[in-house]
Amino acid sequence: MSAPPAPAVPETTRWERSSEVLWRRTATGVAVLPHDSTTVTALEGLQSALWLALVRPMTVDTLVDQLAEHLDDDPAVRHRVVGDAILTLVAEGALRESVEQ
Amino acid sequence: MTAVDVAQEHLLLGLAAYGLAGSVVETYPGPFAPDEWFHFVQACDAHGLLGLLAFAAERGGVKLRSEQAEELAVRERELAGLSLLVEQRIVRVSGLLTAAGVPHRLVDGPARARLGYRQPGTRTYRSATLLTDDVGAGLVAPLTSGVPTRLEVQVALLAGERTLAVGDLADPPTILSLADRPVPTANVEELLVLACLEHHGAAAPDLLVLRDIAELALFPAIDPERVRRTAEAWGVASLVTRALVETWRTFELADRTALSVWAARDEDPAHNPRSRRAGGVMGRVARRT
Repeated sequence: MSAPPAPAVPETTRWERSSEVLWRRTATGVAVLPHDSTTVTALEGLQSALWLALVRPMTVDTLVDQLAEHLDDDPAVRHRVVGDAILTLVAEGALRESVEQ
Repeated sequence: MTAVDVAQEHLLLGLAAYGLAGSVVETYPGPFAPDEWFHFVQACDAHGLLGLLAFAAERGGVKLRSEQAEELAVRERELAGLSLLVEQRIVRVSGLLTAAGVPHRLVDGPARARLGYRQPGTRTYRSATLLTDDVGAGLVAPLTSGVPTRLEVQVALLAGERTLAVGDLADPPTILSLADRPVPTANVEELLVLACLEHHGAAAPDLLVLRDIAELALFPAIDPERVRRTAEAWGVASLVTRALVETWRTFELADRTALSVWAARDEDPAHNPRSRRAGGVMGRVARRT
């Protein structure tokens, strides 16, 4: 069985928290609420760690290094998993491409 | 209001002291039988202590059965979400008032949690209070009259024998950034005095407010002299010292700080004949359902 394809997360793109998101720590992760939404999302595990790691804009490569303890040993899988998590949080309005390139 | 039973009150007090720097009050480590858990988690919710319970459980300070931990996680996520919705309402209303040039201050809720708590995530809130003037209250009334309220807009706060208006608070205000939006907020010294006033106005001691007072009073950057000046300017120094003494006694705080020394001295009949010895909260915690 072949490995799943890597997600379409450009390696040079830096990601950051959307500035218009309300958020707070919970006992097991992070809760986020985009300013213009009524849907609160609970982030746990890798997604929570990803959010907390993004105190400054980072590329997917940097995030893979920062989140190593949450990830598989296979580099391709690590990039795919982090890329998927980024895209999920972007879709929820929590993350965005950094405006500081 | 009546007093809760003493056994549960000890559990609540121990939880309210969890993680509080300098407190020697012990948190009951569990486990809980199902019926004990049912009543305890209800009481924690009613007293605003579920966030603390969730953090205590996650850090191993309170041992729970797996189904209890799952129930707590769900409840805490709901409260965290509610707290964020309160903040969202604050951002919208404050933005409107700022755009209109109307003075206003956030005086509790996220201001206490985010400016005073070492771990703001432990402090949840179902509503908050914004102090403004008559023009501001009229302007935002359509935004704040819904149910649930989530944000109370007031033009005066009760302070002992008098009331406080927004003009009585420091200018410029402290700015709390929520979703990258600036929210004018009472400064941390004013927040401490206001928490003491809330304690004074309560029919029975409220452990969450006492925890707020402890967190704010132990906040490393708080200016004790500014607290004293604020309390005196508002004519509530004796209420503040009494609340501080009760907080220190309730949580058995070992640390002596400039604030605790000031409060203890003011409460000492040898120094202040008007003082009234404050007891602990045991037997006087309000029942909330």
